[in-house]
Amino acid sequence: MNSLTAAPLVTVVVPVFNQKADFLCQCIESILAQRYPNLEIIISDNHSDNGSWEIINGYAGDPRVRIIRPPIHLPMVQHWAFAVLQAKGELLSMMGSDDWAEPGWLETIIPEIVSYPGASFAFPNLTLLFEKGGNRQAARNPGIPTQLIPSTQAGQQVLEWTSHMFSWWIVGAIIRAKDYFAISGIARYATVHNGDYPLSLGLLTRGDALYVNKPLVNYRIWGEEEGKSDGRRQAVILEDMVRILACINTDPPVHSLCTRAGWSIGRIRRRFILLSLFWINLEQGRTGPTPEERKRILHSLAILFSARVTPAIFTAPIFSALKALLRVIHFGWKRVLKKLIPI
Amino acid sequence: MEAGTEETNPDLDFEMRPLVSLIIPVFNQKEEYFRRSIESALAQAHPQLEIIVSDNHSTNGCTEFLSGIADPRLRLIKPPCHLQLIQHFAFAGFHANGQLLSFLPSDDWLEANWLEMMLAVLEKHPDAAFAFCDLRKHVVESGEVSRYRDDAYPSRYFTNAEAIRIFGKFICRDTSAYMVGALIRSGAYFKSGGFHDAGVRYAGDACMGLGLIKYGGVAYESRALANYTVWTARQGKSDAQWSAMACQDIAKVISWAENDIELRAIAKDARFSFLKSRIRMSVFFLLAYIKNVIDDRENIRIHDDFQETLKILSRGWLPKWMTSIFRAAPVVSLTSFFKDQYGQKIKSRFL
Repeated sequence: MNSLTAAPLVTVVVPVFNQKADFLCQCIESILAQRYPNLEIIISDNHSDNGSWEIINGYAGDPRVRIIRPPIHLPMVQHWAFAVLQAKGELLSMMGSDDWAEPGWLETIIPEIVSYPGASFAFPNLTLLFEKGGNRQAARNPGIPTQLIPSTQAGQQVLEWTSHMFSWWIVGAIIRAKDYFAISGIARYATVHNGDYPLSLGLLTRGDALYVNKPLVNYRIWGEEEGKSDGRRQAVILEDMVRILACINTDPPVHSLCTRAGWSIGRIRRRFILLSLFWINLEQGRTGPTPEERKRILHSLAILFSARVTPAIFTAPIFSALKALLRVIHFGWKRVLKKLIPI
Repeated sequence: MEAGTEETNPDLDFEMRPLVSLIIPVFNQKEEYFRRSIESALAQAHPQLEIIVSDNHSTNGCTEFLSGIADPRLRLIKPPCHLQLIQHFAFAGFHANGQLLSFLPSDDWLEANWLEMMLAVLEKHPDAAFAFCDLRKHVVESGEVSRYRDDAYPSRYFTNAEAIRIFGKFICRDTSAYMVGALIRSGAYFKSGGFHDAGVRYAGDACMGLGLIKYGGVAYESRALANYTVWTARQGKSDAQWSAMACQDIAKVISWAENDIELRAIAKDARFSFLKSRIRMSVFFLLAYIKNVIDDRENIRIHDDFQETLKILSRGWLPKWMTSIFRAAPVVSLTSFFKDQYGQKIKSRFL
């Protein structure tokens, strides 16, 4: 293996919006500490107003860092898409500004994906850090070995939505840029929040998934109580589910992937309904939905539930014939009834 | 860090005048056409204009002449690698700093008074998310020039309930090619996700139009302020193999729009149903398919794409076997028989 294929340019994208200063520093410094030789770091600030912009500019001195800003404040997935579109690397990675990498992250995972040309992305095991209580825990069972997961099998797991393997897959994942751009990236399907779900499905239509069984990144789990700026997500997630379902239905490559993986549209929808029933909480507490949000939640639930009854044009005549028949019989019944019960 | 440089520039007064970003994405365009569209953009008299040319890694050197133009309004950008059409438009859109933006395909061009007129239109209709204008259509093959939407379409303002009726129809004269010369409020553009694609490869403007009307109405100006070039692969257009792709795209856009919460609410107010456009599009594409078959395109991909599309479009009103029937051997032999016997006759008569 020559040095060119061994060290392709890697772009790590860090989209930032009103992040806590210590989390942000931890994230950026963990990436700067990577000893991988051919690295580009793009930090994109979505017009933060809590001083994140100043913190980011403190890192401008490093030649690997490029700092950008969208023209105006963008919705979250749009902002991620914007930032990734600036990447020059052959391989991409997106890092949430509250997550951070272990020192050997890139050195370990890059050779893996380079040695499996059939994989469109590689993702490592990760450590979950619960901000409430400070517990740490591996996200995936450490007994699962490093392996190439065939696209069908991976599709099966992704479609569960809350799969053991593919939850948080995007944290620390390395994606081939050509596959990313070929399936038009994270803003695919006009999702607002859950860009990683359609992204993984799209990537699986282009190749397999490579799992690397080493805890190389850390993922912080925290909620609105700890001061996260977008803790209230129920309505948005549900709306995204509706959109994703509609788009899987109409995207031939993704649709055929789902069919091969044994997930018909009906089954996916039932799964989504089940999940949404688990997740949603209509109670109006401190963090519960406002009346306007509640309306949106109910509306998307209604769409999820509404099975399209298709009185296809060829069965419609049968129905109308039945109707006409019923009408005739109805009159007949009346006559029969009159005879039976003479009033 | 463009935003930073602007804040320090005292000449730019955001409150008084909108800064307009005109975005020209280009890929392997004929230099003659591209030069024409750049010159028409530079001829706009408005001082607060920025012209963003995004070069999608052209290989025919059509952007070389730009280095000879020393105009501070012109900015050349380049995506990191060659992107798909829609993605490239989205990429270029992200660089717009203006409060208003407009996309100009690189083979079309603007009239000199386009910007002033369109600004006046948007000023008159503060609720409009965007304004579009009539076009002058130039057919390259025949050299014919005509108005695109003629006097039958007067200048008017559509509330979004009215707009969904015309933008939900898709391929029709009311809204086709509306994007050329349309002036869009960037707030609405970015809120709606802009040139996001609902899995679309080509017809991103259909998505964008529907997305924009979530955030306001639409103003239409009946003067022809932009010019639209109609040409095909025969004259050397680089991506003319579109019909099958556009078919699939519209099918996807309809499904996306039917499942978008806000659009559903607007459609409900307007008593508009996408089912009608679904049926309309199915018929339209069936005709286009027949035309393709008669033209004897032995291109497997086109056949597959059409059938796939019809399947998607017909969901909900036509049984599935109706669309897969085209694959059955007896039907295939029957159609090829008819094609050989009557194809040319039918084509010259009807299509």
